[in-house]
Amino acid sequence: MSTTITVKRDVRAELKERAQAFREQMTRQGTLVVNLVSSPGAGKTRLLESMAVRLRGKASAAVLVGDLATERDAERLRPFLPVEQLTTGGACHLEIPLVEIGYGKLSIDSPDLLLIENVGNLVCPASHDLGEHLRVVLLSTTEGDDKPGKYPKMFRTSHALVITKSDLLPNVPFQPSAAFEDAQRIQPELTCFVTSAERDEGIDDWCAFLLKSLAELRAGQLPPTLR
Amino acid sequence: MHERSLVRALLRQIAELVADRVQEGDLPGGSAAELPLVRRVKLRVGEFSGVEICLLELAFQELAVHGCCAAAQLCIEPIPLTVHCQDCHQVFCPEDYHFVCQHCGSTRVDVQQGDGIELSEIEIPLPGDSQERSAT
Repeated sequence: MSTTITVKRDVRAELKERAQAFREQMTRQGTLVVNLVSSPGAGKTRLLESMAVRLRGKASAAVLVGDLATERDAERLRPFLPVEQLTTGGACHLEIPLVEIGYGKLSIDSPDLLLIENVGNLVCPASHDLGEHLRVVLLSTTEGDDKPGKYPKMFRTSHALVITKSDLLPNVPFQPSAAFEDAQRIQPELTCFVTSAERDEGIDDWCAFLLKSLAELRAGQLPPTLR
Repeated sequence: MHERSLVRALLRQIAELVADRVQEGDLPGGSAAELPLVRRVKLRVGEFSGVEICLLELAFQELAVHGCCAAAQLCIEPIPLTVHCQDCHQVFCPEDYHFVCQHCGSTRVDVQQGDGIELSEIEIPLPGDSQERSAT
């Protein structure tokens, strides 16, 4: 004799609900939340540095930066904009509770853009909703243009692909069009940007996309939820 | 490797569900610290959930040693990824994760199932059952 409890519940339901509540709060206050994901060393912090300069006077921005250890990224970004370092203590991705705590510690209320730099990892962050409106995956030219198909969930759940380090293109066998086509087979809605923070190329277009998304959010037009 | 944090969340949810049943009088047991042992936990794990089944099983073995799942068998039903085409309404399993309709070529496809992880059932033996044991 035994008894069976039928549950039929998403094991991640609680975190998903918290992420959704955070997103709704940000939508109401007019803050566009962007989750930047990539493998380690793809250039997330470098892109943020060049964005901070480019966005000055156009939109207020704050950054939450996730790493396993150290405050190195926060120290790099602090001269440019309000930043909080989220130290995961070994966890390979950020989760919404850490984002909520970090947001509460920021020295700015209701920024136009809340930029979350996730832990460098193309696997685990794909499964964790941080309450963002846009998920952006960065792919550097040194990583190879065959990566999207190898990490399908990350590319499937991203709204935009930012190819970084385009200044190295003459020296590496990387074709931006091949990477973009591979990624588009997984997520046809994906928008692609080719950038070099080093040479300040493509940053304008990328920032213009964010400002356009911000204006759309404030007009009640939310980016689609991707799954 | 987020399977461990997922298993921690799963074990917490199961303990809460079992404690609720004990409190409601549906299951024997004194307090939350003395829950009846769960015999079986059934999970549905999507192919596109981002969860590796063998790592999930290992994490369960390791983390369930204390508490009401200490003797529980974990049964995992793998759920294949299926998508629905908004244009021709066919349902198919995408090959190589190409989210393009295999029937009409449309890119307007939605994931139907296979991207989640669901706790479907918990089985608990009742008093008098030969396999019944109690958690301490």
